[in-house]
Amino acid sequence: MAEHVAELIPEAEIAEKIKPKSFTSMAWRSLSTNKQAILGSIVLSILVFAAIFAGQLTPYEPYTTNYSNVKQLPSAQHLIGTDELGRDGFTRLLYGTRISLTIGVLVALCTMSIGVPLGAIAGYLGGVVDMVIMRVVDVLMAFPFLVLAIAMVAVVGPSLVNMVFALVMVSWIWYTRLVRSIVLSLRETEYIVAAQALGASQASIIFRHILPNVIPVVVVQVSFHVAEAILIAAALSYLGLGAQPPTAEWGAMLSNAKELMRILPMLSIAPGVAIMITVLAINFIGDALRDALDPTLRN
Amino acid sequence: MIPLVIGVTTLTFALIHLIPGDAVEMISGETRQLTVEEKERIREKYGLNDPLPVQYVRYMVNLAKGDMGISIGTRSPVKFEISQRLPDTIILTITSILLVLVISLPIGIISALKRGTVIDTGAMTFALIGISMPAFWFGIMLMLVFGLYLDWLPTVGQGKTPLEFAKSLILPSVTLSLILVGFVTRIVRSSMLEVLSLDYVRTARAKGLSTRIVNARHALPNALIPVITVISGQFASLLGGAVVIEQVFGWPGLGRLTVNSIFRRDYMVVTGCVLVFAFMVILVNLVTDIMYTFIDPRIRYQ
Repeated sequence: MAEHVAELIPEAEIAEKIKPKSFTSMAWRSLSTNKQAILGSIVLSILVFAAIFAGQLTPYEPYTTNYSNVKQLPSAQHLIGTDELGRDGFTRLLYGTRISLTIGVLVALCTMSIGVPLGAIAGYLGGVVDMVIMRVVDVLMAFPFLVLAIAMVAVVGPSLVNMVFALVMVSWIWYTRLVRSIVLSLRETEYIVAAQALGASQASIIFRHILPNVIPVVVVQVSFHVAEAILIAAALSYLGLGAQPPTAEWGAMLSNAKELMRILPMLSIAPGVAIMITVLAINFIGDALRDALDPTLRN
Repeated sequence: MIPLVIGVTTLTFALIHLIPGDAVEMISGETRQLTVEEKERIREKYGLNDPLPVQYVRYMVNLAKGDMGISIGTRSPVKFEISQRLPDTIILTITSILLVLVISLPIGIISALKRGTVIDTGAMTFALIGISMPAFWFGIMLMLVFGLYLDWLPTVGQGKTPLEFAKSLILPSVTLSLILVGFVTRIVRSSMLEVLSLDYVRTARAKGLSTRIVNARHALPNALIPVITVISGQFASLLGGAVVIEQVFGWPGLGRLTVNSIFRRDYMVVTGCVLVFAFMVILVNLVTDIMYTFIDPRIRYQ
């Protein structure tokens, strides 16, 4: 019987099966076999391509008004028609990809770089520092996120840059809470206590033992945050509190298209579909990243 | 709770003072340019020249009396402006929460019971699409279909008679419910799945109860507890969504007042609204905490 098995499965393959795999290689395997992740990445690559080569992909300019060509119905020349200033809707949609993706990534990365250190400090130091940071977090949490963002925009004045600033100022608390809770729970674990007992330095504990546990969770959070930020930025721009006309931003375009809804519904439909596809693709990637990076979810 | 209220009010006070140009500068230029002397007189009258701590204490005392200042746009108390708009926002949010329950509970429960089937996958795909869709755009699409093409429902504003009011409430509340539907459906499903795998559910089945009774009487009540947590936790994002959606449908609620006041630079109204939004969130969380002790005996005994 034993000989039989040995004949059926070559030794190399057994060795391959029992060989311990690194965290990254397991995470990569989980990602590269995840259908949603593949679909999301393909869609996102196309969007990034469109964002970079927007100028080459269309013969029209997003900001040049053309009064002889206003309110054209969708046709082969103008895929979703032209607006009341004769600007090609599809061209503006392409340029909008640039703005939305940039804002999403910018907001998420800036927020992360403020929220993560604060959370780590609060969790690791504890005491008064922790109390002060968490009180501020509690207060900010009491406001509806969008209302607070709107109030911040009211303070600094509506513009694209100010909106990014306002969003960062009100969303760092998510990272702080997340990172603090991880650090707090890690601080009590036996392997950290053991490392401390063995005389490991503060720096070595933070960078070698705590950080590797924080990074995967933050990566997942960032990916969802990019999607969230794109949605919020579109909503604020729709309200007129973010990107200002004539900027080709999806939310601002939707606000502009509302006047033309009766005759040119495509101008209202297309930017929303663009937002949805972008956010969906990023959420797919986020879901897959979470499955891949969270060892407790992996079989 | 009390530190939270103090923190929240302090933040709105800070917002008022972070805004470039004080109230007098805003009044000036509204009708005509005020002279330096006139400005100074108004500043003196409203105590704007006092040191910040004095102004802070006065702000807090006034708030405690329910005084949130005067609207520069309408010259009426901010409290009055807000009390005019608040009921409309409350009606809108409550209707949306009810809609979320009506949609999410059945779909989530069925998905959990039919786990892994086409129904489950389909429902979860729709939930994900719902989460990824900008709610305000969904509102525009509803407007396009039910308002412009089918002409069944009004697209903008609020009806006067009860029937017209109800009709004008449909599109905004359906739109607002989208913010939570996908999320809550996912929670109902996962919470139901978790409860279904517990020992007491297996015991109930083992003693010969029908699946229907086990699911409805034993599993469901416990599966609903996390759903309450999620809805009360997401109440803030529902209010935030209301700000945008009220603007889309011209619904005369608190959110619309907030946004319009920003463009009118009527900052006392803006900060008043922001404060009321925060109080609503704090209140809902408090009520939920108290509700738990009635719903879940395990919390009462802790």
